[in-house]
Amino acid sequence: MSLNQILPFISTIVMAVFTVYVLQRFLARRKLHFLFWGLGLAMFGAGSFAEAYLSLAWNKWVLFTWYFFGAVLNAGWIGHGTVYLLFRKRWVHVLTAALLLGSLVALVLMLQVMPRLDASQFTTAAPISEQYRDIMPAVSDGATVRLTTPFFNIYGLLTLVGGALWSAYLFWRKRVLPNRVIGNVLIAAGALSIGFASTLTRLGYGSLLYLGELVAATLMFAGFLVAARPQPAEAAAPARALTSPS
Amino acid sequence: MPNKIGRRQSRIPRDSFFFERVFPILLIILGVITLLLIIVAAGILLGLIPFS
Repeated sequence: MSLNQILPFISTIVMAVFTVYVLQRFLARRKLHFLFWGLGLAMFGAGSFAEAYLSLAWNKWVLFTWYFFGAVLNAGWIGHGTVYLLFRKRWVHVLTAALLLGSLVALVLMLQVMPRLDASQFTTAAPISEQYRDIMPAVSDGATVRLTTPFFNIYGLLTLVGGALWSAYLFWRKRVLPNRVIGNVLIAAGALSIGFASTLTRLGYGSLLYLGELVAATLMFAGFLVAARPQPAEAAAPARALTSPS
Repeated sequence: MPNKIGRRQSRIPRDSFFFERVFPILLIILGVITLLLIIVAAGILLGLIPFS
């Protein structure tokens, strides 16, 4: 097996553990930010699993999973979890409605493309990130779903990375909780690594995508664990603990 | 990504090289990369950057 066949499997395992960890927090605390993070991470994991599968065999619904969950939706959904954490206002529910509606529109557009996939262009010799443009029709030929990815990814990048950097800055400025400063920097760096790799893929350089995904999964999980780690002062005074990913 | 500060939290040490020197630079670099990625994504969206 080549490195590009192994990396998605490792990313899938990391993301599966990360997703279970976050969704357990949702079940225990019933906070919506955990739900959106968990669902977004599950989409990320599904995309990684689809890459792993497509490095071995063809299935058009696995390609659907890879593109719809891995390329279109996951960043926006993870980032929306951060919005729920940082802004506990009613207007966030309006954004939630917009995200759900946008996801539904993307789903319809993706389903419209499915009968027009050209499976004859598929090969296991190259990563799917380097050949999906040959398998899917061009935007001008009806694959308008491809126009939706920047919307979700800009929103995800702004909210996830922006939220993490802003939180890190707030803790640093107040000189408290160094673990959350470092944790948020790791989360931001992880999200940026996948954003960078995805942008390169979009521009036609898809060979770094799988490495970027593994780096992103590892850094974000590490950041989450570091930020959620209870500090001695917090353990001594749980009633005053911060709102946190823990 | 927490946003509310309590009273009795662990403190960032004053003499930390990482928090005094490295972190501010890191924060700026990550912010600049974020802006660049958003500009590229917006450029693709607006058709200013071609993609196949």
